[in-house]
Formats: sequence, structure tokens, C-alpha cells
Amino acid sequence: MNTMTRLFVLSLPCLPLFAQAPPAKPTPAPAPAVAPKEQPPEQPKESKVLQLGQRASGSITLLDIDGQPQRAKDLMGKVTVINFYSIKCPIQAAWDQRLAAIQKEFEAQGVVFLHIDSNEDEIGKEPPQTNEGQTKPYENVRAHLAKKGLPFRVLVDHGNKVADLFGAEATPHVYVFGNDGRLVYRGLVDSDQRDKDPDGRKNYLRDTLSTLLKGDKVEPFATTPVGCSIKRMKPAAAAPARDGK
Amino acid sequence: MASDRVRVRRAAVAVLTALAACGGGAAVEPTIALARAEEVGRWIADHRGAPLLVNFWASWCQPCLAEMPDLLASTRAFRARGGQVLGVAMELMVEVTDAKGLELARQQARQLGLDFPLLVCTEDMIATRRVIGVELGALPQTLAYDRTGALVQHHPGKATAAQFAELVKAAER
Repeated sequence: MNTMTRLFVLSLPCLPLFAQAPPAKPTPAPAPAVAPKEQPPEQPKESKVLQLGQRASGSITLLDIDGQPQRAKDLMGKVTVINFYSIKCPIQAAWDQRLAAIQKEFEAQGVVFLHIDSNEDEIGKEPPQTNEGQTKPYENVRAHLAKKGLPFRVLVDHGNKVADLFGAEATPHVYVFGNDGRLVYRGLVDSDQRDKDPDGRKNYLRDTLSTLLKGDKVEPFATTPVGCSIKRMKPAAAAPARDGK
Repeated sequence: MASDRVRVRRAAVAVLTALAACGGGAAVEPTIALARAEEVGRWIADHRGAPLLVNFWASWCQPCLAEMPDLLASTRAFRARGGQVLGVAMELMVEVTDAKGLELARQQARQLGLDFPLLVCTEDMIATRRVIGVELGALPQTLAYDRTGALVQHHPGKATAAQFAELVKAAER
């Protein structure tokens, strides 16, 4: 077993998967004037998927592309943004520079940004076998970040276990956790995919972070992401067809 | 100049609509045109009276391309019975112009052998879902409308042949 493999620890906790804080009171999020409509927080339910208002398990650990571990428990006390990321998705690319700008602004205020690549066609099924002195792993990811000048710390989610735990649907798909570890927002970076309406768009991520940093309460809310499907190794259970009404 | 483009685009959508109404899917070469989100919505509204599947896809979307053979095969009999299938290609990215998007979709449609009408949307997914009133997420997405024009089923993500058959059933119910 090589170093990378030894280090790759995704410790799935025993049930219940998430810390036992009571879920946030399910009050509706403020509705925007126009779509994309925000979804009301889910009712607490028996589910292994992280719900709005809940804390992710502190035992989740992923490695970044340099093999450095990131433990969820080390993020407690810090406002944290997690984005499900792709180096191939053109819709992710549409938000890359705006996301980098938000990251730069809020990292300076102590917010942690992590980008998780769960796409099998980008990171492979398993951590690459490498030896000392050889090419660094995930060269495709490194080359992409360097070419675009993106300051993203990318964690690798082989087997898409964390994507499944989070119920991530797309790239990009952002998750914001308050400094109490609770998930307060899940969805779009903003409502302006093509960056055509900087004055009129809804800045979901930026506004949520600003509110949290002011110390104000954010009622948990979500928007439906747009983007590319995550190329899962084992597809999550097929999404149920939705009643059209 | 801009209004000329709009007129040309409207004419193309009108021709596409007429062709689809005349036999939906019989053509070997797919009919294809640029369309604003409103025009996609109008196309859907104009086909009230026939069961309809609308598939949102893109030439860069691998799961979309992977499901196309099943979409084609699963809807052949449906289309022969008068059902309609519309493909809406979401090609427009930061560096892709309308013309480039049209060409990308056309090339991919030829390779896939698509023989149902196609619109290449000139607006992004957020604008499109706002106009058609459906929370479209990650591509692909397939919608089933019944004869009254009511949205009766929404399948997010890649669909199997069995799932397309369910969508057809829902549209024809």
C-alpha cells in the first residue's frame, strides 16, 4: 500500500451519520422575486444525506491533491464553503473566476474554501499509485488550476462517498456551513450563470457569507444548482422522477 | 441588424414548428434552430394537443450523449403514434457564440442520428428554467407533457430506456 492509499481515509461513521444537534426550525427562506426559486428547508427525516440545518460528521476526512488530509472536525468554529468541483464542466468554468474572487475576499476574513472533485473521469477510481520522485498525482487537476490561475484547494473524493453523503447533484454545487458546523445554504453561487447581470443577480453565496460574518442568523435555504452531473463511480440511487405538477 | 437576426430566428422556429407538426421525427436530418428561452416555452405551448417529451442536453455533456440512443429507441413508436419529442441543446457557455453553439449541436445531432426537432437555446439554464417554470438542474433533464400541455413528469439526470418508457407512458396517459 503506498502513501497515498494509506492516507486516503474516509471514515464513514456509525449511524447516525451526523451530529445530534436538533435540526433548525424549518421556516421558509425568503423567497426571491424571480426564479431560480429557493426551496424551503427540508423537514427532518430519516436520511443518510446531509440536510439543511444539520452538521456534517466530524469524522469525514479527505485528502487534497497533495496528499494532505482535511478533517471535517478541524473545520468546527470556522465558516466553511464546500464546492463540488469539476475541471471539465463548462458550467463550472462559467463561475470559476467569480468563485475565485469571492474566495479571495472571504478567505481574508477567515472563511475556509474547499473544492471537492468527485468525478471518476477526472480523478480516477482510486488514488493513483506513485513513488517518490515521480510525477505528482492528479496532474490534470494541477494543470487546470495553473492554467486558469485558480487558487482552489481541491480534495479528491474517490468513490464519490462525500458527494453521496452531501447529496451533491452538480458541479458547481456550493455548501455553506456556519461556524457552529450547521449547513445553512446549498445551491448556486449566484443567479447569473453567464455573468451578464452583475447588478441584477442574486448573490446567494456572497450574501450568505456576509450575513454569517456579521454574526446574524441565516435561516437554512437552498437553490437548485445548474451544471454538469457528477460522474460518480457508482451512481447514487436513481433520482426519483418528479411529479410534474 | 439585431432585429433582422430576431426575424430570421423566429422564421426558423416557425419552420421547425411546422415541420414537426407535419410528422414529428420522420426526417432523417434533424431540424434545428436557435431559440431564446421564450421561444422554447412557446414551442412547448404550441404543441398542446399531442403528448410531448422535452429533453435538455448539450454536445459537451457526456451523460446526455450516452442516453440519446435510448431516447431515440424508446420514443420511435411514440412518435409514430403522434407523440412529439423536442431536444433543447444548452450549448451556450462563456466562450461559445450562438453560431458556434448551433454548429456544435448540429454536428453532434448528426453523429447521434437524432431525427426529432432540435432547438439550440441562446440563453443559460437559469434563464431558461425561469421562463419554462421548471427547476432544471444538472444536465440531462427530460420533461413529459400530456395532451393538455400539463407537465406530468420530470426526470432529472440520465435516463434509462425503462425510464424513457415511463415518461412516454406519463405523457400519453
